[in-house]
Amino acid sequence: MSEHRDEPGAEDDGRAQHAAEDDGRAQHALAGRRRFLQQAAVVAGASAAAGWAALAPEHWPLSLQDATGERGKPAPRVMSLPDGGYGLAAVAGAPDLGIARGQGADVARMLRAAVDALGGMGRFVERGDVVLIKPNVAFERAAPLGATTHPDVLTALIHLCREAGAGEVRVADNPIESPEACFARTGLRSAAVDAGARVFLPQPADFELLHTPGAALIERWPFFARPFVGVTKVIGVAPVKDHNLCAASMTTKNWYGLLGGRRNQFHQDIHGIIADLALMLKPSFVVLDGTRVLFRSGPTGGSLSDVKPGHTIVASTDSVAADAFGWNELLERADQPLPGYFGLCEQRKLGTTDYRALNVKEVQVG
Amino acid sequence: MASPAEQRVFNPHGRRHYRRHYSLGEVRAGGVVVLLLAGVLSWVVWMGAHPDPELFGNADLLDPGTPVVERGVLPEGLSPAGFAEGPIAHFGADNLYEKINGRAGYFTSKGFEQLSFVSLRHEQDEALAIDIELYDMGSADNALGAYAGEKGAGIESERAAAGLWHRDRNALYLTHGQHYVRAIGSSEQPAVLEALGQLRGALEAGLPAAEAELPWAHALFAERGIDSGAITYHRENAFSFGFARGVYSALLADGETEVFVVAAPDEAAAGALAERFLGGFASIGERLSGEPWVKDRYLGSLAGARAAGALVCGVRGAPELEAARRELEALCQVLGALPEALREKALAGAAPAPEKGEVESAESEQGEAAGGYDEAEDGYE
Repeated sequence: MSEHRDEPGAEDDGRAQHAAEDDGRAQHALAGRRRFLQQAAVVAGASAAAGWAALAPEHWPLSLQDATGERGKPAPRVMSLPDGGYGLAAVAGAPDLGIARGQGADVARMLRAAVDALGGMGRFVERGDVVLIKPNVAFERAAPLGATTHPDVLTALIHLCREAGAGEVRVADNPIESPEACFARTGLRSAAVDAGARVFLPQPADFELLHTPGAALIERWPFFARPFVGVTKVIGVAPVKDHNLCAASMTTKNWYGLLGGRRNQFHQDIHGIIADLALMLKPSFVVLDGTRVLFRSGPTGGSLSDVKPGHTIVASTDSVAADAFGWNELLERADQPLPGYFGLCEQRKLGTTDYRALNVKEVQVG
Repeated sequence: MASPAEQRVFNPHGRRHYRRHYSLGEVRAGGVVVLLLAGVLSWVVWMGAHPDPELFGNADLLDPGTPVVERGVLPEGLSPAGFAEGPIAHFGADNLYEKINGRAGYFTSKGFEQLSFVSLRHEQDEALAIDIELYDMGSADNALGAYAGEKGAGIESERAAAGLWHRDRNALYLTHGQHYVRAIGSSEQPAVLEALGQLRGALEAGLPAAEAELPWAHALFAERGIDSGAITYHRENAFSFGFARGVYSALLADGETEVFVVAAPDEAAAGALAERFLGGFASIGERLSGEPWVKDRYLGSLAGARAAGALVCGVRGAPELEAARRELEALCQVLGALPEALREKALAGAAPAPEKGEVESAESEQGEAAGGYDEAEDGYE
């Protein structure tokens, strides 16, 4: 220090150096303060945000409060079926209802005749299509008892789809009774597998919420979704049955087997739910299996005395019309008013009960 | 100046690589760790492919098995020769739909309490099976009501040990006390038909029944030449009248005239009940002046009711007045001559008719639950 005092120039230099150091320190202190303030602001902001998220009432924006635990549940995925369903554009002059009758005739020939009357399977199924067939497998009953689709009809339908070039044919239903037992006892599983189709038995994870705009009872309802992934055409094939609640179960009621959840509650408004089903699923076409008719003790049946031969197979682009035909000519109840769901379907323009006014083609087989 | 460690607290480049070099020791240690992990993986794979056989020494512990289900009232040794029992299942009123969806309402409306189900499979031919549905209907009246409602036209019933039975092609229908049994064969193969015959014996021998006698009204109708199998029991809501409970009815040979009887708690109640029947019939018809008869305004058929002591007898759907009068008179005479034991039995089981308000309230609830379904029935009264 004393050496510096002895040299005046060195003293000036020292002052300048000190000033520069002071200035540097001041600048550094300023930068440090700014940095501190920035970091403090970040910490304060983060703390405030966390406090808001944790403490703000549940209905406030960005609140993470979940007093009931409901908000923590994952939001279910809601699916929709294609606009317009799986139906095809109307073809001018093409029949809407194909009827094949034949006593003792081969079922495959009858089905082919009914579908040919509509214009042939080529009208509906193109090469590479993924076709879903929905039979009625509702009960664990042997096929002759008439409570389910006849396996011979299913086999013939799968063969027709294959001939038309379908890339894949799937068969699916969700019986309330054990699905494995129902598919086995009815013979429908072996019929489908032997004919080269994939059978989808329902598992809990296979169901998704389906949004059906305009439906009164099932606007959002669990639906057997897995078999529908990638499907391009849908065909329903249902037997003709008496029904304890809705008087008759045919092609429109058949879609009930695609619902999940506690669907039995819909029996309180059976006609309403059937009208909703017609809205929910618009198929490519339907087949009414009138080879035999469960004319009483439906829908379960049990005695062979409850079943009579129908000798008829109907194919139609209008399931309401097909069912009206079944009511009049297969259940032979033309003298009774149509069940309530027919009127509801007509009101929604989902089909017509006046099947005679449609383009009907009837053929005799054998 | 903040140290590098302090700066890392808010390091904006958190993933920046601060160590460009690793020591040889670290590399070696890392190699050892990788080798160890590879060894563990190899061991897991090898063990998976070569499991210890002793693991399966107690295979029964791994098998969840079939849950034991109580037989309930299902008789032991039910299987006929050549058939084996499958699993037993029971259903109550709250889950009956799981077994007979769409048909459940038929049974619940008739007093259903429990369904016991078992399937019998032929040991040689799996396609041959008999499904046994044993319905506990709570009372013999209810069981007979369910039985009669499912019986096809023209089928004659036979007297069973404690009820009625008949065979219909592939199926056996039987009541035994409060139980109604449907045994449904998968086909009409001889093995199935023979087994159904054996089943009837096994069921009658094994099922409990409070008493072997048929309900009182069966004896009464028998006096009028009406077969037991033609009698229908309406536990409630007979002819769509909310007040009509415990009514026995039977269709006569003309296929149109239906006769009915019902027990009331006492004579006064019987008189009031008969009047309520007439009032109900009059809601869709015109009452003939001074007579217990109503003419249906749509069908032109005649209906009437009157009390005979504490019992009420009636006729409905009769095409012609004189015949209806004769039938009602004959029925009332039989009622009057009813043996005292049967009369006591009838009166003991008489359900008090619900009060008017109760009926309206119940019907209103029914209508709400049904969402307007079955309006025609509600509108009848």
